[in-house]
Amino acid sequence: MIRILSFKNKFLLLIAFSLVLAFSFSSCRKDLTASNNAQNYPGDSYPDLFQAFWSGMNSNYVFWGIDSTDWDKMYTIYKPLFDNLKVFNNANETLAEQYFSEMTQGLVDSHYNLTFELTGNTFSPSQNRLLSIDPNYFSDSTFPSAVLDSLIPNKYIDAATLVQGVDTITLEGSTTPFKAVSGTINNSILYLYFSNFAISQASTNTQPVFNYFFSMIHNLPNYIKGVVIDLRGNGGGEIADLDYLVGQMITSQLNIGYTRAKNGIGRLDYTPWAPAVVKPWVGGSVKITVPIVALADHLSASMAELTTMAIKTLPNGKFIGTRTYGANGPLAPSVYYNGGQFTIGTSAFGSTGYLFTYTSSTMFKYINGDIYEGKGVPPDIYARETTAAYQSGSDLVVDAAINYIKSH
Amino acid sequence: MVFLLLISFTSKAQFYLGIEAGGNKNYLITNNSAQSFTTYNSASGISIGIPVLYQFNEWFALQASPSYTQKNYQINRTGFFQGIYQKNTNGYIQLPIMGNFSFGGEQLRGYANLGVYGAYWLSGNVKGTEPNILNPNDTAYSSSNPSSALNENYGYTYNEKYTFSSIKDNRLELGWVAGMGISYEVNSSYRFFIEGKYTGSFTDQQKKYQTNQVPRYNDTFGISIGCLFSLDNLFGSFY
Repeated sequence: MIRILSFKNKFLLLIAFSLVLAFSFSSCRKDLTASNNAQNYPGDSYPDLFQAFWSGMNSNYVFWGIDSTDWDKMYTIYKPLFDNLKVFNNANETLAEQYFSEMTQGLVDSHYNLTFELTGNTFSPSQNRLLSIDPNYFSDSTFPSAVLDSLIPNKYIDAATLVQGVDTITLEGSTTPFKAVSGTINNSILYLYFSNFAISQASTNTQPVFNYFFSMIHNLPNYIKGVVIDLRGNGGGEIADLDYLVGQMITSQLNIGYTRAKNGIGRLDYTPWAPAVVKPWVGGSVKITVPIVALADHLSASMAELTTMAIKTLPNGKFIGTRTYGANGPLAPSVYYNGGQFTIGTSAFGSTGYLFTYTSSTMFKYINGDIYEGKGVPPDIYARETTAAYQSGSDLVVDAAINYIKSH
Repeated sequence: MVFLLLISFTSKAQFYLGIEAGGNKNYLITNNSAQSFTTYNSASGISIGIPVLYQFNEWFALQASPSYTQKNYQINRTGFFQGIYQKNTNGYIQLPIMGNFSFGGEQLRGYANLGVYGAYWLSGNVKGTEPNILNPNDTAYSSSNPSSALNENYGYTYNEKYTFSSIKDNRLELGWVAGMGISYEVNSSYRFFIEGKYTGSFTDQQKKYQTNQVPRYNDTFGISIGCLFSLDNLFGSFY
């Protein structure tokens, strides 16, 4: 006979059963392992530096959704290798730098760069990749210096209109020359070249160039049938220049693509895509209706590529040249977008740390949905300067722009 | 054995079918200590269900409560980044199966529920504001330094359906459920109830897709009111 429990005993048994059940089920949860910011790891050993780097990349790198690198496999392969580096010495440092480089050599981010602060060595997956395809990738170009110095100012720009100058600017902590050239070509085309996107730093020698160009834009003479923005060899720079440059040639907002950032520590935690826009410049703008042509080449990177894509998006815009570098992801300090660049080992090695990882904070996709990261933006019209053409006094890319404007 | 000790079958066994609705507050239990100026906060949601209860005797019943339940949470950035946020609204079809243990008088009774549940992550929506890196405030530094990240870059405000990732998102959730409530039997045909309920998942909201993955669990605290109808008294015995 089954003994029927009293109500009180049933209730107590229920409480006990509940507690056992609660404990059992709560222990089914995995430990919430602390996720440490890569920049907080002490960096007192190579294994610690590896953990910091791997974790930082795992949460900060914005391209995991499209990158083919198997980051978990990198952990499996390289953790034991770093565990074997027992002390800091020259031989182990060489190995460590080799391992970090090997782990990242397939990354698609073409801004990506490792700087090893102890030795000053750097590693760029995109440069490594491009040089393995073409060892002359960075030297096989007669632009910008040769073409700019001898051809464009002397043979193409109408002498009476030529304005050019060089100043020194600071970009990402380093000083660099900043060159700008403007004038008209054949008294029918307004031309502008500048070496970096740092127009806000234009001063004594280069400010007159931009003053001339924009005064022409705002009061475009009837004889100007087209505008050429020469971005060949331009490695990029400040995002604000996009509105300053293209924004002075439009009177309504232009959507040129989309960006997304990290939104969590998981590799695939992303924000929604936010529209990338060029706004009419706050200081005044006009609607340019004549053809606007962007010239770009395999060395045009970052802001040069975004500007090229902005001009491509215009109904009267065109991109003439060769496929660009493929570094499209905008950058900001990591705290802004919980992603992007980071430094490891500051506790052990001081403020500059052991390794600075330079990588995009956001990923960009063009208005048509294409992602050109690691691939480059394809031209609307292919044209490439050659040494032979240069030596014979021709800039084939500018020639193509002149022909295009003549026919439109 | 425990089950047999607790149950004594009587001739009072009845089927009940009802409706319930209420609100809840959900917490996404995770660890985001690697992120700066970023907090995960609870968010409110709703729950609508159809409880089905089989009363074995006057103090024990077995209950299943299929429901649509929201398990929402919000990510907020703080300090200089205040104003940047995202609210995740997640809709689940949930089926708790519980033992229902009641006590008290004939009309007014208290009860406790204890059991497990399975749920399917049906839908998601994300609403928020993020700083738009390619929409800078061109006058940000013209008269004074910006006081927040949304003064440096215009915010992009969005409210859109969440796109599930077949690699990341685990759409099946299992967990346990516990609750307590009070019911009032108006007559032999129906009774009203109000109850508080806790559901806690023991499956990660994510599939295992990366090394050193930090898990995410839902803890949901809800209050609902409803009504149960005795099928036997309304339609006659059918078993």
